[in-house]
Amino acid sequence: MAPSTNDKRQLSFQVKEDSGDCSPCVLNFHGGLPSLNFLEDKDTSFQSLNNRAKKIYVICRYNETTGKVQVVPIDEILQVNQSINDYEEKFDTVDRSTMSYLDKEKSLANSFGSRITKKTIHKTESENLGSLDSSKTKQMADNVKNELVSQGASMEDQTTDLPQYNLEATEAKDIYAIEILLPFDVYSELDVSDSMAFCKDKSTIPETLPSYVKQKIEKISGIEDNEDKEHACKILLIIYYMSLMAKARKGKDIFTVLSENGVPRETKHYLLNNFCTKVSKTKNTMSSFQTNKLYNFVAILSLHLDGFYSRSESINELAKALGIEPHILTKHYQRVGCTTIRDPQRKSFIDFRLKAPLKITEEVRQFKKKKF
Amino acid sequence: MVRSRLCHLEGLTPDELVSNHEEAMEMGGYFVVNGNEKLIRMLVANKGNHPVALQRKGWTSRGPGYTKYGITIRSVLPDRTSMTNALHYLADGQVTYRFLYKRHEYFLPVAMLLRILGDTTDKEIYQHVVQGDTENTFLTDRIELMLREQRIDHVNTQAEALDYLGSRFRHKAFLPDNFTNRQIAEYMINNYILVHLPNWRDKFNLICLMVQKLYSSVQGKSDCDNIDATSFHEVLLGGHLFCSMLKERLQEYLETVRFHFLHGVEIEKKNGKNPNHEAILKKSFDRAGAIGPKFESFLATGNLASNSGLDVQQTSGFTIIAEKLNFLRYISHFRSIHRGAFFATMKTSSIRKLMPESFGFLCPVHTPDGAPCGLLNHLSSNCLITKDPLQERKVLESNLTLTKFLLSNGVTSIETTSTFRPGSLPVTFNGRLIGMADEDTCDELVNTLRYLRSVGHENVPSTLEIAYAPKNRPGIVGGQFPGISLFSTGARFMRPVINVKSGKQELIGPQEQLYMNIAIYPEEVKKGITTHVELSPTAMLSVVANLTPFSDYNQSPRNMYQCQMAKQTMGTPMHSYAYRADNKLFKIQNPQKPIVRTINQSKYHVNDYPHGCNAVIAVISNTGYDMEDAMIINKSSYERGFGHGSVYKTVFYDLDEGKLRAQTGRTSVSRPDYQTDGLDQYLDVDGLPHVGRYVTGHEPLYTFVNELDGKQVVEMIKSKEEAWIEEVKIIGNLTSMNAPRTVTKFTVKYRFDRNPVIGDKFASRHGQKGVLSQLWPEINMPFSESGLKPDVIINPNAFPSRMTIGMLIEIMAAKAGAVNGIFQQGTAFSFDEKNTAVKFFGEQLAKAGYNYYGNEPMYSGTTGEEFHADIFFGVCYYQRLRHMVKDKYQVRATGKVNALTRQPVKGRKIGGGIRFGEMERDSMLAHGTSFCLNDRLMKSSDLHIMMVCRHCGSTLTVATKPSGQTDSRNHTTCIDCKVDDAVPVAVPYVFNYLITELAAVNIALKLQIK
Repeated sequence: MAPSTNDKRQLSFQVKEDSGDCSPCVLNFHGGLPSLNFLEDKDTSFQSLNNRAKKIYVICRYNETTGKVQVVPIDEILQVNQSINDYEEKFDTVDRSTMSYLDKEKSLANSFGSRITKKTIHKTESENLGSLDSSKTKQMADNVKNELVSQGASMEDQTTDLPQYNLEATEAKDIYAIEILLPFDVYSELDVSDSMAFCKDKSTIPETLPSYVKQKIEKISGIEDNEDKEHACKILLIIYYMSLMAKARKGKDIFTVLSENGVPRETKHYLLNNFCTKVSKTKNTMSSFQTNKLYNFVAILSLHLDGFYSRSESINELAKALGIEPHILTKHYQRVGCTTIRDPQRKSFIDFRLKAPLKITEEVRQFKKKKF
Repeated sequence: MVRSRLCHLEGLTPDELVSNHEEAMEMGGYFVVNGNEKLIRMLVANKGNHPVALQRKGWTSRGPGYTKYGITIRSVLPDRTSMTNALHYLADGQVTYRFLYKRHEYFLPVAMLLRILGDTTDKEIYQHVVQGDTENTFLTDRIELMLREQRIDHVNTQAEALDYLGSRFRHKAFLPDNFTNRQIAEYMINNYILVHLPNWRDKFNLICLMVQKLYSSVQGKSDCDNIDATSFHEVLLGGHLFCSMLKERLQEYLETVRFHFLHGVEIEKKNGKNPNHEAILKKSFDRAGAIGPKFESFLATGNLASNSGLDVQQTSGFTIIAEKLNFLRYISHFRSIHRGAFFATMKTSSIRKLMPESFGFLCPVHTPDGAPCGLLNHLSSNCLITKDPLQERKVLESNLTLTKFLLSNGVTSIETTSTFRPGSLPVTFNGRLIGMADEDTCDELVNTLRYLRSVGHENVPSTLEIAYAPKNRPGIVGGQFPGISLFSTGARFMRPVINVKSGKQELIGPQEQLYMNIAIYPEEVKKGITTHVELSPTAMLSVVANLTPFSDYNQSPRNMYQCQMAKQTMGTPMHSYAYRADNKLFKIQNPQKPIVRTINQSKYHVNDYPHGCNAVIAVISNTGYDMEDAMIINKSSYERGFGHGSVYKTVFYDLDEGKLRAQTGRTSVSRPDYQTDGLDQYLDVDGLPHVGRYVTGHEPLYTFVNELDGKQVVEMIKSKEEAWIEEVKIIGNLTSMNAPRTVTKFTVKYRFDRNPVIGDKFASRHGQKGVLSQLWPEINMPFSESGLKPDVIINPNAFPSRMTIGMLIEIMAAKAGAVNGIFQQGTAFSFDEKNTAVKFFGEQLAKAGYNYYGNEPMYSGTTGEEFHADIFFGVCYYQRLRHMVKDKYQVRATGKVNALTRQPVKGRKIGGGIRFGEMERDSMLAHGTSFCLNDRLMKSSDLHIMMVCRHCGSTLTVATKPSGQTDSRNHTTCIDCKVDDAVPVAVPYVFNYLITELAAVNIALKLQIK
């Protein structure tokens, strides 16, 4: 540092202790600290004044209050390496030599790859079916529970346009149990006092009733046991309600029709829930499937009424009551599992009988598939 | 390359050059490939080693979270090979570093990269980037997150990060198997990350700075840079491209040799032999192929075949032919700079816009209109491109000392500390962060550096660019990211200005110019504000634009037109006509130096290659033959030689052309029957034409002997145009003993007289072009009181809309010059409002006894009556343009037709027709001239008589039976209907073609005949 002519830029240099090459000394900057550039020289050593070949290292300490820099000689400079206690460096231990090229590419792309590379790799992988990892799919499949399993095996084979049936039943009445056809709430709610009255006094039967109902009332009136009579009346009543529904399908709204005819609340709900789809608060519609289901139920109920042998004449009347052609209804008798019986005397008439055990033949199944 | 160190013209004096049949002013700098003079055109490249903040929508598609923000940097190595890297900002605040490796993009998380580059702690990285700006939570939050998010897979230390990187790239790098992961990573960092900085600490510092700049631009504290601005550009020169190509080729060569060698050894071993390494190595070298031909093909085609792409965005169009149409066109090739073919395809026009940043570096006037407008620019006359430090020892030396100099002048070294005083600005030198300078000292530092640069200080080279983007004043956001960027690299634009302080010339760059106060005139200097003065106000114009006199008086587009037209002028491209064999050369017979000239005209020796003629001009609406930019030329002027010119064409003849190699050399030009064939008037006894003969088309050109029957064959001239045979050159090995008898190749130079004819194009130097409409007899030309008759008459309507006032002043100035016998000074911006050009030249005219404004009373040449108005009459420099009627006229009665459609073919050379297009058709329809339309579109084109069955309307089923012996008529019968009821219908043949095409796809087209 050459002395400047400017007084303020002068600095004084004072050796504190004379101890040979490494003597502490103090520099005094009269004009304040110079700019911090003293470390620019790559060589941070100073030459000794006495011995040119010898180099010494110094540290300077600046005192702000006094404006002095203290130069303290040091023997050597040590590099400080940072480290954390007990930290063990971990390196890549995966043996990449055994990895396939695609796997290597994948590991590179996952770390640093571009979207395009990742896409390309994904595409290559998805084209190669062998490399697909199916464990996840399997796990997913295992996790899914089949809720239908808990409902019992007998349900599995059942088709929904029929009521629950019992294939192992030995008697015809057990095939389609009446408890299932008419739940307890509905059965108990049905008011048959009018029907019973009609049975007692046939003259009071209203003319508006379908002839099927009239005939059946006449038949029921012949039953002696009161309970059986009441049971038959209840079945007839529900058949009547169902016939109202079947007819209403073509004209008035079902809900209104049922309400107008004084169908009790639970029965109404039962009928609407089973055979209709609710569109709005009051409007219900019947799909062709639901109609078919209704006819199946009617057929079964009529079989219950007829002692599981429905004669052709009775079926014709019932068809009239439902407002359909008899041959359509006969198909439903077949559908529910009836066997046809041709009476040689009445050639053109075909009766239907429900026999245990129930056999739903292939034909019937196919028949179902055609959805009539 | 001509005049390069290996060229035999190197170092020759003008006299020696002339004695070597070259131009005295031969500049070199081009290559001769297959007889063409090819040069590698300059391309614009992004400024090297300077991080540029950008917003690009395309970056959002880089991956999930990627935003439009980023920083790109083109790292340029000392050998001028480059590599572009980028930082991307992700929506969550993270930053990734993108680099290209083997044409694939890779993204390194910046935190990981920083950890790799310096064995450092998170805290230090944080401090480096934040720089004490802890109140800026936007910045601190993101850096915190960046550092936190990068903790992956137990990668915490430098060693771990290097291992992680190396292990991933191991299979890609093709490095020896015994290399450790760390070595591979080191190779990647050294060769693909900020390659211009070999020191990792420098890389670390620069990335920190780039991250700061990125966050600043995302935060809106500073604006994004405009990558289209000249301030962020430099030049990709031919030499640099050559060097990059050579580097790549050599690498490829070595790789190929290695492959062949290893392969060869393997095969030998397989065959159970002991491999002879020496022989295999020799074979491998042979197999690797030569490097030279690739360069030849590059120069010949301009196509770059490269595996890496060499960091340029195009693969073709690197070379152009330096056309010697005239001198101006020739030299402007060397000053032209293209933005890149890639940008020509871009739909946006922003790239083509004239930006203020380019002032003084690129000419605002000299760019073509049309497709390449704004993409093909020309350097301003004073602009220069810096040399590479390796070529300039002084720069190389000062590169070493400049850093020290800066550190002792207020810059705090980056090596001393990681945190600086708040508000410090980064100082970079050639893309290396050397330290930070205190905000308050920057102005002084920069001014000192500029002063030292102007006076030629040893530490500060004259080509050092000192770009200083100051910090915003409080309350202002936006602007460039502050800092001082110094560049001493090559290939940058620089231009001289005068430093006010030192009074000396100093070179400045486009990036520093933005923040400098440069006065145009010395009078404009404001004390304390202005630091520099322009050398001349015309310094912003290119060489060609500088030649337009009084261009400051013209509407700008007219000056642009002149720049294009000057390059189409028939002029004097060279003085060595006799020794040239160009395909086509133009020459004007009576060239003159312009009376009105600019300073640059003498500076660039343009007057040695004149390209026009001083014409006496009258601006008058006369006879009607000067309507719509037509011009009347005085017939006697024409006869005296006005506008006379010639075209030289050299045609190469090769008797062996198209023959197999075995069959060549069997025949030669000779005339064995010279005594009997009667061709003496056409040919000399050697079978070649007489030199100096005037050929009139389709006459014998040469004779040769048929190799099969030994008979003499006469070959005719193919061209129909009359020409003089200027020269016949025999090509071949003349040292051979039987040289004269084995002439198989020769060239004939024809000279076509191309004196002005009606329809030829002329133009003044102000974008005022026109065609010759009539060679008017001198006796009928209007004359002035002194009896002067104009050479050229143009219509005054040429001026109001074009506003080329410069031309009017030129006419005045040249007239004054002519009467006073002086050459006039017409440099742009040499006059102003106080000292007007009109006054200056008007006074000269008035002094010589002429009207002050140059108007003169004139008299009709036909009636002798004086015109009612005085006529503006003077002298103007006129250029003859190369567009001539003789090359363009097209006539056709009947001729070649397309075989498929039977319509006339296009093309003048093959006697084709001129298209009568849709717009022409529309105007005919609008005009109601349907008969004419029918004539043009059908009768004169592809008229066809088609037989149509009247019964079924089909044209395809009609068959014509030839007339029998009993019946002389042709019978046309419909095969389908079996009736003889077909009628002829006239249709264009192409309609018939349509019917057959439709029939091919099962569509029957039937006509209803009424």
